[in-house]
Amino acid sequence: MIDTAAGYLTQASKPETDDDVASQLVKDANQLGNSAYERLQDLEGSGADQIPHQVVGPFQRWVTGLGIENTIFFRADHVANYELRWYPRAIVSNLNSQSQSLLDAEGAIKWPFFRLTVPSRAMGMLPHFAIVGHELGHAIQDKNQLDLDQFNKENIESIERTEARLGTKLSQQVLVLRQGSLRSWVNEIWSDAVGYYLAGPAFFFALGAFFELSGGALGIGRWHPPSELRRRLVIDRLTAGESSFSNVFEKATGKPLTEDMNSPHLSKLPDADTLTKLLGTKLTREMAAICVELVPLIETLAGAIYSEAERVLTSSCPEMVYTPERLRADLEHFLDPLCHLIPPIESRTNHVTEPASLAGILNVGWAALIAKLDEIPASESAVGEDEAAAKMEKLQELLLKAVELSEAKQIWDET
Amino acid sequence: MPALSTDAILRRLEDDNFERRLTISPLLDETVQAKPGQAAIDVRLGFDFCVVTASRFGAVGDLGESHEPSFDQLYRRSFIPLGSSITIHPHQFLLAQTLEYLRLPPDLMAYVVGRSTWGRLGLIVATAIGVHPNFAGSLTLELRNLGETPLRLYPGQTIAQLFFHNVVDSGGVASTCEAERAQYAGTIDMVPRKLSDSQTREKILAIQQANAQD
Repeated sequence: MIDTAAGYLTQASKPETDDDVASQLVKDANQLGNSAYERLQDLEGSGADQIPHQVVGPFQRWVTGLGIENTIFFRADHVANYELRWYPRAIVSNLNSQSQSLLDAEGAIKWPFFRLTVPSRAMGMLPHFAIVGHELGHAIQDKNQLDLDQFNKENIESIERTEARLGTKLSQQVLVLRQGSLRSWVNEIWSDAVGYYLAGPAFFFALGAFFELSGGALGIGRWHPPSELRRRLVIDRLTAGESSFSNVFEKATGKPLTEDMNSPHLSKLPDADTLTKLLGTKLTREMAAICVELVPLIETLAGAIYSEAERVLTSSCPEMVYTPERLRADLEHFLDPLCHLIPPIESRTNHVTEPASLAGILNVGWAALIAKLDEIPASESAVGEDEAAAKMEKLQELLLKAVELSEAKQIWDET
Repeated sequence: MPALSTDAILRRLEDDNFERRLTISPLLDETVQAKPGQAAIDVRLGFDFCVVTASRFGAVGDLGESHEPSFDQLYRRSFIPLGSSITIHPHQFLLAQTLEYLRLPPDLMAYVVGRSTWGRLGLIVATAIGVHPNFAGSLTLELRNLGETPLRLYPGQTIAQLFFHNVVDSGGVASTCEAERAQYAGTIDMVPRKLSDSQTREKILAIQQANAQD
């Protein structure tokens, strides 16, 4: 972009260029320079000293496995939320007289390119990264082919309940806004479903921890369904059936999976009338009523949304779907050794080695963090609160080592 | 003190008892790294390097002299992924790590020895070559090119060998070293944190002060 701006200035300085044109070229060059600087700011936090480089390869494996071909980069920043930002091709293709270097860069990128931001505080403990599964869900939400028309009856009932709550009919304009909110809520549940199928319990723990770290608020708003509902939808699936994730987890750790595990302070959703009043303090009256009545609707849709996410993942990348059976094997191979400072790099049986998957490492990490932290050896000099911190630091070190070396093993085996 | 054969080393890698299990992981290619009939495991070059750069600092120590730099200031860190390389120039010194994570049980110790093929090119791989029982971490290698030719190093290349020996207690039986309470000591970072233990440091400072008063 700077080269392109330099080209504008060169053109402006030529004697044959009209003054008016030259003046505009200088202004354009100035604007382009500012844009280039903004793009540099967008990159902040992506350096090797700002994000643990070990995690990038394994996450790229998730990206590739999900069929996301777009250019993507990861970064850490002092922000509250994880975020997936899209950069359209127009940021460079709309420019006049592009320099050759800009054309080369444009051609080298698969557009739109993505920037995945991870809050800096999550850097301290690798298992929190399971939430990235949700953001990657957003990146493939166009694969969601669920036809919402099949829920027309439920949708109309939701609109009628909203109108009854308001005591008036919704205008066409408000109905359009409502439709936008419904679509956004569906996308959030879809992305949670993708995170759940990619990482199983690790996603549940990371999601709960994220809600808790965000202040434990209700989470409900124009673009997001309530946090408590999202958490409940995941735990319902983790505990379903006899060979559930929950049973496997409890058998290995002695701890059953419960809804408020890892997020005990998350606010419960109040009754509909109280919620309407609460939301009315920050949203319009109509939007508050819409959000309140979207809750039962999205709960009705959730089963179909999860099924659709499962269909997409099992048809396009079945090897990436994390199952209770895989959890059983990962905990069996890696959890006790981890407590003896053996990182979950590879399982080894009769001279045959199998590298650990990222999902496996995240799940073993959470199991150790939740149920086995006391057993992780730490320095004798660390006592009291320092001891717990030292154990967490040691666990983090072991998990980062596992991510780095299992990835090296996979690259080696694949080549 | 008998050395373990390659076969015995491999058997210790699969010991069901975690207290006795030896970990060298990952072994990217076992047939290359653990040759039958020998008594060692080859280890590979890892991805992280600390390059010592020219600096304005006069001397390094950790006894609180003024203007002494922290050890971290002496190094520039580099991450070199698989497929890329780093060049060590003649007489240059840099720190590296083994690719493998190593954890020794209480009854084993190891020696790190450079591979002769590298040695013939002038590359010294390790100077602190003893690895104690209960070590857990990646080994730090102190690389120095004593030759006259720059050497290109690729992460993943076999760089050194580990020889293992049994450790016995005073009664001559395999050491258990209170395995349950054993404090596994590992390399958290390649850059050293301190040169002296606190007792030694205090003693030297006291002598220094006494000398100054004389």
